[in-house]
Amino acid sequence: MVLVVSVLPARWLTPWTGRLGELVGLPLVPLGDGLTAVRIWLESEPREIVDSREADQLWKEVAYFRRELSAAREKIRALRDQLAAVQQFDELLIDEGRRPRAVVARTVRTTPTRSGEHLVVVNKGRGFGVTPGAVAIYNEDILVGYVLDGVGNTTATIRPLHSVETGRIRGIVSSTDQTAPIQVMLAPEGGGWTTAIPTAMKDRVTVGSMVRLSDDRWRWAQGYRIGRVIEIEPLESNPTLQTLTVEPLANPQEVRSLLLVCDPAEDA
Amino acid sequence: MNLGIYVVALLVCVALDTSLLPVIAIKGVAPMSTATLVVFIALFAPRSMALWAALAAGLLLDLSLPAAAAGDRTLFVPGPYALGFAFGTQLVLLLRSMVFRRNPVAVGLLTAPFLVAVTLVWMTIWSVRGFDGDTVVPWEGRNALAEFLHRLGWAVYSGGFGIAFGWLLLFSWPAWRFDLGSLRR
Repeated sequence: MVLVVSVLPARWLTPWTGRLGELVGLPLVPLGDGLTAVRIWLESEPREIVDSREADQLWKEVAYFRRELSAAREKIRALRDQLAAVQQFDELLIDEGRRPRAVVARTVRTTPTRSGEHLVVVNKGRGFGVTPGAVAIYNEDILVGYVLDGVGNTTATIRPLHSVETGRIRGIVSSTDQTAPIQVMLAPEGGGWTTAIPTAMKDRVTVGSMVRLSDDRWRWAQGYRIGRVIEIEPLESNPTLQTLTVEPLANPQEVRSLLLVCDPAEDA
Repeated sequence: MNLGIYVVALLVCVALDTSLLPVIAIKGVAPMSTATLVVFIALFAPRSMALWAALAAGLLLDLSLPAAAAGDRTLFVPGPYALGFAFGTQLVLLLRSMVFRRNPVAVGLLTAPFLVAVTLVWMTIWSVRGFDGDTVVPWEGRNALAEFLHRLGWAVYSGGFGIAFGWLLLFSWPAWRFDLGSLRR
Protein backbone atom coordinates (compact mmCIF):
# COMPACT_ATOMS: atom_id res chain seq x y z
CA MET A 1 0.00 0.00 0.00
CA VAL A 2 2.80 2.41 0.91
CA LEU A 3 4.44 1.65 -2.44
CA VAL A 4 1.27 2.56 -4.33
CA VAL A 5 0.82 5.77 -2.32
CA SER A 6 4.43 6.75 -2.88
CA VAL A 7 4.03 6.86 -6.66
CA LEU A 8 0.63 8.56 -6.80
CA PRO A 9 0.58 11.84 -8.79
CA ALA A 10 1.21 15.01 -6.78
CA ARG A 11 -2.33 16.36 -7.38
CA TRP A 12 -3.78 13.27 -5.64
CA LEU A 13 -1.39 13.50 -2.71
CA THR A 14 -1.51 17.22 -1.98
CA PRO A 15 -5.11 17.41 -0.63
CA TRP A 16 -4.63 14.93 2.20
CA THR A 17 -0.92 14.49 2.90
CA GLY A 18 -0.53 18.13 3.97
CA ARG A 19 -2.99 17.62 6.83
CA LEU A 20 -1.37 14.27 7.68
CA GLY A 21 2.06 15.90 7.75
CA GLU A 22 0.64 18.56 10.08
CA LEU A 23 -0.67 15.97 12.51
CA VAL A 24 2.44 13.82 12.45
CA GLY A 25 4.71 16.85 12.79
CA LEU A 26 2.78 18.27 15.76
CA PRO A 27 4.79 16.46 18.48
CA LEU A 28 7.99 17.49 16.69
CA VAL A 29 7.22 21.21 16.96
CA PRO A 30 8.30 21.80 20.61
CA LEU A 31 11.33 19.52 20.20
CA GLY A 32 12.30 21.17 16.93
CA ASP A 33 11.81 24.57 18.50
CA GLY A 34 14.22 23.80 21.34
CA LEU A 35 16.80 22.10 19.14
CA THR A 36 16.71 24.92 16.60
CA ALA A 37 17.45 27.33 19.48
CA VAL A 38 20.46 25.19 20.38
CA ARG A 39 21.60 25.09 16.73
CA ILE A 40 21.34 28.87 16.32
CA TRP A 41 23.25 29.32 19.59
CA LEU A 42 25.98 26.92 18.44
CA GLU A 43 26.26 28.63 15.07
CA SER A 44 26.51 32.13 16.51
CA GLU A 45 29.90 33.85 16.58
CA PRO A 46 31.90 33.31 19.80
CA ARG A 47 32.24 36.35 22.02
CA GLU A 48 35.55 38.13 21.82
CA ILE A 49 37.56 38.66 24.99
CA VAL A 50 38.61 42.31 25.35
CA ASP A 51 41.49 43.79 27.33
CA SER A 52 41.08 46.51 30.03
CA ARG A 53 41.74 49.42 27.63
CA GLU A 54 39.09 48.19 25.23
CA ALA A 55 36.78 47.60 28.18
CA ASP A 56 37.19 51.24 29.26
CA GLN A 57 36.43 52.38 25.77
CA LEU A 58 33.37 50.14 25.65
CA TRP A 59 32.11 51.56 28.96
CA LYS A 60 32.49 55.10 27.55
CA GLU A 61 30.50 54.00 24.53
CA VAL A 62 27.87 52.49 26.82
CA ALA A 63 27.48 55.87 28.56
CA TYR A 64 27.28 57.66 25.21
CA PHE A 65 24.66 55.31 23.81
CA ARG A 66 22.65 55.50 27.03
CA ARG A 67 22.41 59.26 26.51
CA GLU A 68 21.43 58.64 22.91
CA LEU A 69 18.82 56.14 24.05
CA SER A 70 17.37 58.63 26.49
CA ALA A 71 17.14 61.27 23.75
CA ALA A 72 15.57 58.76 21.38
CA ARG A 73 12.96 57.84 23.99
CA GLU A 74 12.04 61.49 24.32
CA LYS A 75 11.65 61.69 20.58
CA ILE A 76 9.53 58.53 20.54
CA ARG A 77 7.24 60.05 23.15
CA ALA A 78 6.79 63.16 21.02
CA LEU A 79 6.19 61.09 17.89
CA ARG A 80 3.62 58.96 19.72
CA ASP A 81 1.72 62.11 20.60
CA GLN A 82 1.75 63.08 16.94
CA LEU A 83 0.65 59.59 15.93
CA ALA A 84 -2.26 59.68 18.33
CA ALA A 85 -3.37 62.92 16.73
CA VAL A 86 -3.11 61.45 13.24
CA GLN A 87 -4.96 58.26 14.20
CA GLN A 88 -8.05 60.30 14.93
CA PHE A 89 -8.50 60.38 11.16
CA ASP A 90 -8.22 56.63 10.71
CA GLU A 91 -11.88 56.10 10.01
CA LEU A 92 -11.52 58.27 6.94
CA LEU A 93 -9.21 55.78 5.32
CA ILE A 94 -11.00 53.87 2.58
CA ASP A 95 -8.92 50.73 2.94
CA GLU A 96 -9.09 50.50 6.69
CA GLY A 97 -8.85 46.90 7.78
CA ARG A 98 -7.00 45.92 4.62
CA ARG A 99 -3.68 46.10 6.35
CA PRO A 100 -1.28 43.19 6.30
CA ARG A 101 -1.30 40.82 9.24
CA ALA A 102 2.03 40.29 11.00
CA VAL A 103 2.76 36.99 12.73
CA VAL A 104 5.90 36.14 14.66
CA ALA A 105 6.96 32.55 13.93
CA ARG A 106 9.80 30.34 15.05
CA THR A 107 11.73 28.04 12.76
CA VAL A 108 11.34 24.41 13.76
CA ARG A 109 12.60 22.28 10.87
CA THR A 110 14.63 22.58 7.71
CA THR A 111 14.59 20.39 4.64
CA PRO A 112 17.01 20.53 1.69
CA THR A 113 15.73 21.66 -1.72
CA ARG A 114 16.95 20.66 -5.16
CA SER A 115 19.06 23.80 -5.42
CA GLY A 116 20.99 23.12 -2.24
CA GLU A 117 19.10 25.62 -0.09
CA HIS A 118 16.78 24.55 2.68
CA LEU A 119 13.03 24.98 2.98
CA VAL A 120 12.24 26.11 6.51
CA VAL A 121 9.19 24.99 8.45
CA VAL A 122 7.85 27.49 11.01
CA ASN A 123 5.46 26.93 13.89
CA LYS A 124 2.62 29.17 12.68
CA GLY A 125 0.04 28.29 10.04
CA ARG A 126 -3.50 29.06 8.85
CA GLY A 127 -4.69 29.13 12.46
CA PHE A 128 -2.66 32.31 12.96
CA GLY A 129 -3.66 33.85 9.65
CA VAL A 130 -0.57 32.83 7.68
CA THR A 131 -1.36 32.83 3.96
CA PRO A 132 0.55 31.48 0.94
CA GLY A 133 2.85 34.14 -0.47
CA ALA A 134 3.33 35.84 2.92
CA VAL A 135 6.79 37.33 3.22
CA ALA A 136 9.27 36.33 5.92
CA ILE A 137 11.10 39.26 7.48
CA TYR A 138 14.13 39.04 9.76
CA ASN A 139 15.72 41.72 11.92
CA GLU A 140 13.10 44.38 11.17
CA ASP A 141 13.71 44.93 7.46
CA ILE A 142 15.56 42.02 5.88
CA LEU A 143 13.40 39.97 3.52
CA VAL A 144 14.57 36.35 3.66
CA GLY A 145 11.84 34.29 1.99
CA TYR A 146 8.18 33.68 1.37
CA VAL A 147 5.54 31.14 2.39
CA LEU A 148 4.75 28.35 -0.06
CA ASP A 149 1.27 27.09 -0.92
CA GLY A 150 -0.15 24.32 1.24
CA VAL A 151 -0.06 26.18 4.56
CA GLY A 152 -1.13 23.88 7.39
CA ASN A 153 -3.12 24.81 10.47
CA THR A 154 -0.06 24.95 12.70
CA THR A 155 2.91 25.08 10.34
CA ALA A 156 3.98 26.81 7.14
CA THR A 157 6.91 26.22 4.81
CA ILE A 158 9.20 29.05 3.75
CA ARG A 159 11.36 29.11 0.65
CA PRO A 160 14.49 31.29 0.80
CA LEU A 161 14.28 34.30 -1.51
CA HIS A 162 17.64 33.44 -3.09
CA SER A 163 16.48 29.94 -4.02
CA VAL A 164 16.81 28.96 -7.68
CA GLU A 165 13.10 28.06 -7.67
CA THR A 166 12.17 31.67 -6.86
CA GLY A 167 13.52 32.72 -10.24
CA ARG A 168 14.56 36.25 -11.20
CA ILE A 169 13.46 39.10 -8.98
CA ARG A 170 13.46 42.84 -9.44
CA GLY A 171 15.50 44.93 -7.06
CA ILE A 172 17.14 48.31 -6.65
CA VAL A 173 20.74 48.97 -5.72
CA SER A 174 21.37 52.01 -3.55
CA SER A 175 23.65 54.35 -5.42
CA THR A 176 26.53 56.16 -3.76
CA ASP A 177 24.85 59.56 -4.27
CA GLN A 178 21.74 58.30 -2.42
CA THR A 179 19.45 59.93 -4.95
CA ALA A 180 18.86 57.70 -7.93
CA PRO A 181 18.84 53.99 -7.09
CA ILE A 182 19.66 51.63 -9.93
CA GLN A 183 16.98 49.17 -10.97
CA VAL A 184 18.31 45.64 -11.55
CA MET A 185 17.04 42.17 -12.37
CA LEU A 186 18.59 39.67 -9.94
CA ALA A 187 19.24 36.13 -11.17
CA PRO A 188 19.75 33.48 -8.45
CA GLU A 189 23.19 31.91 -8.56
CA GLY A 190 25.41 30.13 -6.07
CA GLY A 191 23.43 30.96 -2.93
CA GLY A 192 23.04 34.61 -3.93
CA TRP A 193 22.30 36.61 -7.05
CA THR A 194 24.09 38.13 -9.99
CA THR A 195 23.01 41.05 -12.11
CA ALA A 196 24.48 43.36 -14.71
CA ILE A 197 24.58 47.16 -14.95
CA PRO A 198 25.97 49.43 -17.67
CA THR A 199 29.63 50.31 -17.13
CA ALA A 200 28.63 53.98 -17.17
CA MET A 201 26.82 53.41 -13.86
CA LYS A 202 29.75 51.61 -12.26
CA ASP A 203 30.78 54.61 -10.18
CA ARG A 204 27.34 54.78 -8.57
CA VAL A 205 27.75 51.34 -6.98
CA THR A 206 30.37 50.20 -4.51
CA VAL A 207 31.10 46.91 -2.79
CA GLY A 208 28.74 46.90 0.18
CA SER A 209 25.94 48.79 -1.60
CA MET A 210 22.57 47.67 -0.29
CA VAL A 211 20.09 45.87 -2.55
CA ARG A 212 16.36 46.24 -1.85
CA LEU A 213 13.28 44.51 -3.24
CA SER A 214 11.26 46.19 -5.95
CA ASP A 215 9.11 43.33 -7.20
CA ASP A 216 5.31 43.33 -7.49
CA ARG A 217 5.05 39.68 -6.48
CA TRP A 218 5.55 40.58 -2.82
CA ARG A 219 3.47 43.72 -2.31
CA TRP A 220 4.08 43.99 1.44
CA ALA A 221 7.86 43.80 1.15
CA GLN A 222 8.67 46.56 -1.33
CA GLY A 223 11.87 48.35 -0.33
CA TYR A 224 12.93 45.74 2.19
CA ARG A 225 16.64 44.92 2.24
CA ILE A 226 17.55 41.59 0.62
CA GLY A 227 21.29 41.63 0.01
CA ARG A 228 24.45 43.61 -0.52
CA VAL A 229 26.93 43.87 -3.37
CA ILE A 230 30.07 41.86 -2.67
CA GLU A 231 31.80 41.96 -6.05
CA ILE A 232 31.83 44.19 -9.13
CA GLU A 233 33.68 43.06 -12.21
CA PRO A 234 33.44 43.62 -15.98
CA LEU A 235 31.40 41.12 -18.00
CA GLU A 236 33.91 39.25 -20.16
CA SER A 237 31.54 38.78 -23.07
CA ASN A 238 30.41 42.41 -23.07
CA PRO A 239 32.75 45.11 -21.71
CA THR A 240 29.94 47.69 -21.66
CA LEU A 241 28.39 45.82 -18.75
CA GLN A 242 29.52 45.19 -15.18
CA THR A 243 28.48 42.07 -13.27
CA LEU A 244 27.41 42.60 -9.67
CA THR A 245 27.46 39.66 -7.28
CA VAL A 246 24.93 40.07 -4.50
CA GLU A 247 25.02 38.17 -1.22
CA PRO A 248 21.80 37.62 0.79
CA LEU A 249 21.82 39.46 4.13
CA ALA A 250 20.32 36.47 5.96
CA ASN A 251 19.33 32.90 5.36
CA PRO A 252 16.02 31.72 6.92
CA GLN A 253 17.70 28.45 7.89
CA GLU A 254 20.09 30.33 10.13
CA VAL A 255 17.63 32.47 12.04
CA ARG A 256 15.61 31.71 15.12
CA SER A 257 12.41 33.59 14.51
CA LEU A 258 10.80 35.41 11.62
CA LEU A 259 8.07 37.99 11.15
CA LEU A 260 5.55 36.76 8.58
CA VAL A 261 3.69 39.57 6.85
CA CYS A 262 0.50 38.10 5.38
CA ASP A 263 -2.34 39.32 3.21
CA PRO A 264 -5.25 40.67 5.28
CA ALA A 265 -8.26 38.43 5.88
CA GLU A 266 -10.77 38.53 3.00
CA ASP A 267 -13.67 39.48 5.26
CA ALA A 268 -11.82 42.47 6.73
CA MET B 1 10.82 -4.22 22.98
CA ASN B 2 9.64 -1.19 24.92
CA LEU B 3 7.49 0.66 22.36
CA GLY B 4 7.11 3.77 24.50
CA ILE B 5 10.86 4.32 24.54
CA TYR B 6 10.99 3.72 20.80
CA VAL B 7 8.37 6.40 20.10
CA VAL B 8 10.15 8.95 22.30
CA ALA B 9 13.57 8.08 20.83
CA LEU B 10 12.18 8.28 17.30
CA LEU B 11 10.67 11.74 17.86
CA VAL B 12 13.91 12.97 19.41
CA CYS B 13 15.98 11.55 16.53
CA VAL B 14 13.77 13.05 13.81
CA ALA B 15 13.84 16.40 15.62
CA LEU B 16 17.65 16.11 15.89
CA ASP B 17 17.97 15.35 12.19
CA THR B 18 15.76 18.17 11.04
CA SER B 19 16.73 20.84 13.56
CA LEU B 20 20.09 20.33 15.23
CA LEU B 21 22.42 18.08 13.24
CA PRO B 22 22.75 20.51 10.28
CA VAL B 23 25.11 22.34 12.66
CA ILE B 24 27.76 19.65 12.02
CA ALA B 25 27.08 19.43 8.28
CA ILE B 26 30.11 19.11 6.02
CA LYS B 27 29.53 20.62 2.56
CA GLY B 28 25.79 20.44 3.08
CA VAL B 29 25.85 16.82 4.28
CA ALA B 30 24.52 16.28 7.81
CA PRO B 31 24.44 12.86 9.50
CA MET B 32 21.16 11.08 10.25
CA SER B 33 20.59 9.83 13.78
CA THR B 34 17.24 8.20 12.87
CA ALA B 35 19.10 5.73 10.66
CA THR B 36 21.33 4.71 13.56
CA LEU B 37 18.28 4.24 15.78
CA VAL B 38 16.62 1.99 13.19
CA VAL B 39 19.82 -0.04 12.76
CA PHE B 40 20.06 -0.38 16.55
CA ILE B 41 16.47 -1.69 16.67
CA ALA B 42 17.14 -4.05 13.75
CA LEU B 43 20.13 -5.51 15.62
CA PHE B 44 18.16 -6.50 18.70
CA ALA B 45 14.41 -6.60 17.98
CA PRO B 46 12.51 -9.54 16.50
CA ARG B 47 12.32 -9.52 12.71
CA SER B 48 8.71 -8.32 12.26
CA MET B 49 9.04 -5.75 15.04
CA ALA B 50 12.22 -4.35 13.43
CA LEU B 51 10.50 -4.04 10.03
CA TRP B 52 7.42 -2.28 11.47
CA ALA B 53 9.64 0.05 13.49
CA ALA B 54 11.63 0.91 10.34
CA LEU B 55 8.45 1.54 8.34
CA ALA B 56 7.11 3.83 11.08
CA ALA B 57 10.39 5.75 11.27
CA GLY B 58 10.47 6.17 7.50
CA LEU B 59 6.84 7.35 7.39
CA LEU B 60 7.54 9.89 10.13
CA LEU B 61 10.48 11.25 8.11
CA ASP B 62 8.42 11.31 4.91
CA LEU B 63 5.66 13.26 6.63
CA SER B 64 8.06 15.64 8.41
CA LEU B 65 10.09 16.76 5.41
CA PRO B 66 8.06 18.68 2.84
CA ALA B 67 9.28 18.39 -0.73
CA ALA B 68 8.97 21.13 -3.32
CA ALA B 69 6.29 20.66 -5.96
CA ALA B 70 5.62 22.58 -9.14
CA GLY B 71 3.95 25.96 -8.73
CA ASP B 72 5.37 27.07 -5.37
CA ARG B 73 3.59 24.28 -3.50
CA THR B 74 4.83 21.82 -0.91
CA LEU B 75 4.20 18.13 -1.02
CA PHE B 76 4.51 15.30 1.48
CA VAL B 77 5.14 11.92 -0.14
CA PRO B 78 4.59 8.97 2.21
CA GLY B 79 6.81 6.18 0.98
CA PRO B 80 10.35 6.93 -0.21
CA TYR B 81 11.94 6.81 3.24
CA ALA B 82 9.38 4.34 4.64
CA LEU B 83 10.08 1.72 1.99
CA GLY B 84 13.79 2.58 1.96
CA PHE B 85 14.03 2.01 5.71
CA ALA B 86 12.16 -1.30 5.41
CA PHE B 87 14.55 -2.40 2.65
CA GLY B 88 17.59 -1.26 4.60
CA THR B 89 16.34 -3.10 7.68
CA GLN B 90 16.09 -6.31 5.65
CA LEU B 91 19.77 -5.86 4.83
CA VAL B 92 20.68 -5.33 8.51
CA LEU B 93 18.61 -8.37 9.51
CA LEU B 94 20.67 -10.46 7.08
CA LEU B 95 23.95 -9.10 8.44
CA ARG B 96 23.19 -8.95 12.15
CA SER B 97 24.26 -12.48 12.92
CA MET B 98 27.75 -11.71 11.55
CA VAL B 99 28.57 -8.77 13.85
CA PHE B 100 29.14 -8.15 17.55
CA ARG B 101 25.84 -6.48 18.27
CA ARG B 102 26.80 -4.84 21.56
CA ASN B 103 29.67 -3.01 19.87
CA PRO B 104 29.04 0.64 18.87
CA VAL B 105 31.38 0.20 15.90
CA ALA B 106 29.04 -2.46 14.53
CA VAL B 107 26.07 -0.10 14.88
CA GLY B 108 27.96 2.63 13.04
CA LEU B 109 29.35 0.36 10.35
CA LEU B 110 25.92 -1.10 9.59
CA THR B 111 24.41 2.39 9.36
CA ALA B 112 26.39 3.10 6.19
CA PRO B 113 25.15 0.13 4.09
CA PHE B 114 21.70 0.64 5.59
CA LEU B 115 21.63 4.19 4.21
CA VAL B 116 22.98 3.06 0.84
CA ALA B 117 20.02 0.65 0.62
CA VAL B 118 17.67 3.46 1.71
CA THR B 119 19.16 5.70 -1.00
CA LEU B 120 18.55 3.10 -3.72
CA VAL B 121 14.86 2.82 -2.87
CA TRP B 122 14.48 6.57 -2.23
CA MET B 123 16.00 7.47 -5.61
CA THR B 124 14.02 4.79 -7.43
CA ILE B 125 10.70 6.07 -6.08
CA TRP B 126 11.56 9.70 -6.80
CA SER B 127 12.71 8.73 -10.31
CA VAL B 128 9.32 7.08 -10.94
CA ARG B 129 7.58 10.13 -9.48
CA GLY B 130 9.58 12.28 -11.91
CA PHE B 131 7.25 11.12 -14.71
CA ASP B 132 4.46 13.11 -13.03
CA GLY B 133 4.57 16.68 -14.37
CA ASP B 134 3.63 18.23 -10.99
CA THR B 135 6.48 16.53 -9.12
CA VAL B 136 9.88 18.17 -8.79
CA VAL B 137 12.54 15.54 -8.12
CA PRO B 138 14.81 16.58 -5.25
CA TRP B 139 17.95 16.47 -7.40
CA GLU B 140 16.54 18.52 -10.31
CA GLY B 141 19.28 20.75 -11.68
CA ARG B 142 21.91 18.09 -11.00
CA ASN B 143 22.13 14.62 -12.48
CA ALA B 144 21.06 11.51 -10.60
CA LEU B 145 24.64 10.22 -10.36
CA ALA B 146 25.77 13.39 -8.58
CA GLU B 147 22.86 13.01 -6.16
CA PHE B 148 23.78 9.35 -5.59
CA LEU B 149 27.42 10.24 -4.85
CA HIS B 150 26.23 13.02 -2.54
CA ARG B 151 24.10 10.48 -0.69
CA LEU B 152 26.98 8.01 -0.52
CA GLY B 153 28.93 10.69 1.32
CA TRP B 154 25.91 11.17 3.57
CA ALA B 155 25.82 7.42 4.29
CA VAL B 156 29.52 7.34 5.17
CA TYR B 157 29.28 10.43 7.38
CA SER B 158 26.18 9.02 9.10
CA GLY B 159 28.07 5.76 9.65
CA GLY B 160 30.88 7.61 11.41
CA PHE B 161 28.38 9.59 13.46
CA GLY B 162 26.52 6.33 14.12
CA ILE B 163 29.49 4.93 16.06
CA ALA B 164 29.20 7.74 18.63
CA PHE B 165 25.41 7.72 18.61
CA GLY B 166 25.30 3.92 18.75
CA TRP B 167 27.52 4.06 21.83
CA LEU B 168 24.89 6.27 23.49
CA LEU B 169 22.08 3.94 22.42
CA LEU B 170 23.94 0.90 23.77
CA PHE B 171 24.14 2.68 27.13
CA SER B 172 20.35 2.68 27.19
CA TRP B 173 20.14 -0.97 26.15
CA PRO B 174 18.56 -2.31 29.40
CA ALA B 175 15.71 0.20 29.15
CA TRP B 176 14.65 -1.18 25.76
CA ARG B 177 13.86 -4.61 27.26
CA PHE B 178 14.70 -6.53 24.08
CA ASP B 179 13.59 -10.16 23.99
CA LEU B 180 16.93 -11.94 23.56
CA GLY B 181 15.19 -15.29 23.18
CA SER B 182 13.71 -14.21 19.86
CA LEU B 183 17.19 -13.47 18.50
CA ARG B 184 18.28 -17.07 18.91
CA ARG B 185 15.29 -18.43 17.02
